[in-house]
Amino acid sequence: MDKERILALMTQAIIEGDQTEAVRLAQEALSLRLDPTEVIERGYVPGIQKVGELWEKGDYFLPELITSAEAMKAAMAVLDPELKRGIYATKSMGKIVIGTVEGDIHDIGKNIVASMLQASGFEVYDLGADVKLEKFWQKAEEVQADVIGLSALLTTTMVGQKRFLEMLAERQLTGRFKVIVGGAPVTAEWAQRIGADGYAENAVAAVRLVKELLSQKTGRKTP
Amino acid sequence: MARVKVEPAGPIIEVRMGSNLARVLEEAGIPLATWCGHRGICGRCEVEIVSGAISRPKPKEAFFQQRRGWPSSHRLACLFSVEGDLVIRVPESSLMTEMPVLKAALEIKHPIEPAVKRYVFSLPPINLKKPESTLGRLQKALHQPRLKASLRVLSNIGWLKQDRVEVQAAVYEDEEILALSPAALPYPIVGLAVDLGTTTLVLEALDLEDGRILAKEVAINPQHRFGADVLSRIAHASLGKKQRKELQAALVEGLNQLIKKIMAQLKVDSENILEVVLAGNSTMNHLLLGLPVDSLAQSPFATVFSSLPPLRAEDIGLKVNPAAKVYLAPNLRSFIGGDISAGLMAANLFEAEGPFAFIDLGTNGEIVVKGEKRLVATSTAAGPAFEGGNLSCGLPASSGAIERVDWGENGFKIKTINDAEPRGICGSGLIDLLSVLLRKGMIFANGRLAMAKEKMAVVPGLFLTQEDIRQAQLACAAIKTGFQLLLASLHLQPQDLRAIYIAGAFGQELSVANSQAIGLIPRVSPERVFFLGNTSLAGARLLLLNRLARQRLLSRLERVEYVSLALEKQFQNYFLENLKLGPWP
Repeated sequence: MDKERILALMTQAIIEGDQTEAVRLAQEALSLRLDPTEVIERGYVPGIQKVGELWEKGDYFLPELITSAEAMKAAMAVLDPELKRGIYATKSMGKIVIGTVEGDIHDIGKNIVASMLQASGFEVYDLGADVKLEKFWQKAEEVQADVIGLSALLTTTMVGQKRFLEMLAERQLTGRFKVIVGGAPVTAEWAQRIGADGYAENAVAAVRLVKELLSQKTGRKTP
Repeated sequence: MARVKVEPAGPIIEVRMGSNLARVLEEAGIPLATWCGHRGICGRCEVEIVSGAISRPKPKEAFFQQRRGWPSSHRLACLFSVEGDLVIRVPESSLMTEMPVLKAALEIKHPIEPAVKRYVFSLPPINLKKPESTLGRLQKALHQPRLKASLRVLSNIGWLKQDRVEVQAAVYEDEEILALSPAALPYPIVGLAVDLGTTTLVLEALDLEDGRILAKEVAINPQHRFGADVLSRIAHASLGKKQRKELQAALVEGLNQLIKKIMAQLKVDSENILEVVLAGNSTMNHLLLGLPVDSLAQSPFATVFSSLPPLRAEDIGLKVNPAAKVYLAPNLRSFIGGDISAGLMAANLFEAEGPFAFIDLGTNGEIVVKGEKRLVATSTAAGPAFEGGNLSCGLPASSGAIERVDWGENGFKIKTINDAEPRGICGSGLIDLLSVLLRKGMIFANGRLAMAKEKMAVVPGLFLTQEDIRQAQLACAAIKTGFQLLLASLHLQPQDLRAIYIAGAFGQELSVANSQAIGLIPRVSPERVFFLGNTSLAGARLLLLNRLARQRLLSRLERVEYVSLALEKQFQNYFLENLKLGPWP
């Protein structure tokens, strides 16, 4: 099969959320010694982008989003060892630490955001739910993260997002990481009020937000 | 500061710049219809800005302006921020004057064994050789050497000094005299059963001697102005002690208004009301007593109390006999409150033979499943979609709400509550509608409107949007998932259920077939599905009339196991799978 045909099938497999097919194609690409970077960028990534568009049009809902993200992650896992061999030019999209704030045990929304970010090529460190606020910046420091994402699903736990930003300020860490917030009761106004760097209403918007924030960041990057 | 003047005869309110207009109006006591909890979704809190500082409409406002043909001066109060002096008008249709339609409470005959009993007896004359205290004589006459009486009762017993008087006493649990009067005087002994609902308060007066229901009154819970759902009330109460007391005062005041109406209706005095039994969710119970609620909505969801010994009406501020006892139906957990425990009791479900399921469909869908022996319970965050909240076309079950939808020759056939002009869709109508749409292929199982439409007209001018369907899918999936995980924890198949009992906002108008078609409830034969109506009120009534039921309830509750869905590993997989509309396997 020629390369262009394989790339098109990869895109299709992601759109359809066909994990088996996505994995099979990744293996085939490896056996044909295709450049995994190109495979990802021209094969899989257009698929997940299309999924984002379908979501925004209202065609896709959470189950479709998740199955596509899972297919994407499974394909990446196949390509990863080859990428890590380092003979190909790779660029990390960025590192994100994400979790649901303390006192809040809801994590489906956060899981979906994490999956979409990962599927879109970010390195995601998911701390789970009911996460102590200190853990967010500790982990972010440890892995040198670019972005910290805090989810809160209750009006009563949202205040954890505010406290986190205050905590960063106390430790003079404001600006060190981009902080984004989300969750059902969270709004853009709230994000602005507490001094977060961004808010996204859903997983697809979150991917776009992180991309925007990181392009700003690299725009004025210091060594 | 800015001034908001409410025309024509409303108050002038001083507010901080940037205040939210809906909050401002609600705090001023204007019962604004904010069904979606200030989220700009239901479009019910329309206000007209007559003059003053107007910002550009938010997209959600523009949406309603366009859809409902509002002029640009008409805005949503919940999205409007006050940026200067304003003159506004609040249309009648934006107020919560309309009472939600009441569902009948379960009528079950139970033996009458109240905690407050009347004793009629003659008090023997004072033995002049060996004079005794009046209380001592009462204790002797009632054969209760440890009988107590409050100072208030004791300070009014001068008339007992006479020779041989005929006395009637209202005695609580054979341990305390609540009231004394000459036996010749009529002295009805009245108790109150209260459904302490987040949205609605229902109060029923019963004759404690024969168990008759004497009167009934209903009102919107005045705490509504602090938010439509339990979580926003908790958020307000968590701001501080002052806010917590505000919520308590609002609730007590609401109850007192109802008590006043009941007394006027029955022509009885507050002295005659000698016991109050309330069934409410954990948050309502806590707020009534002015207790902190911060912990209720945060992991690990600790409550301050689950059951309490009876309290004194005076201490809570209820305007009944100050010595009257107040009993709260016990909470099982933070998310399974006294409303559910009382409801299970009323329907006799602790004793009923399993396997069966009980479900109270509200913003939190509480589900209880009994297997051979074990009883497991959970609470699902279904959200308010089935109560008409969070939907662009939603309306609580009130006049003009579409409650039934079918498909006829010329398209949708609808039935509204009171046969009024359709104003929105309530839960049962939404379930019918989704089922019809599925059947006609107008939506796909994944919820997508066919032909890539964004919305579809149910009746002219009233649309179901793609987003509305998504909200319904989320609500349905939450309940279905809770149901499945409980069944799984008891190793039961849906087919094993001998009965499904449905309580809460839905009544007989909920279609079993349509609920099954979209997957809300499992496929069991329709004659095994029973609607119980307001089980919370029925439970309060039972607990009022039968003191033994209270002890029984406490011992039964100990056996109920709570399952926290968020901690179940399978939850997410089930939930995502269940977002698909369609019958259970």
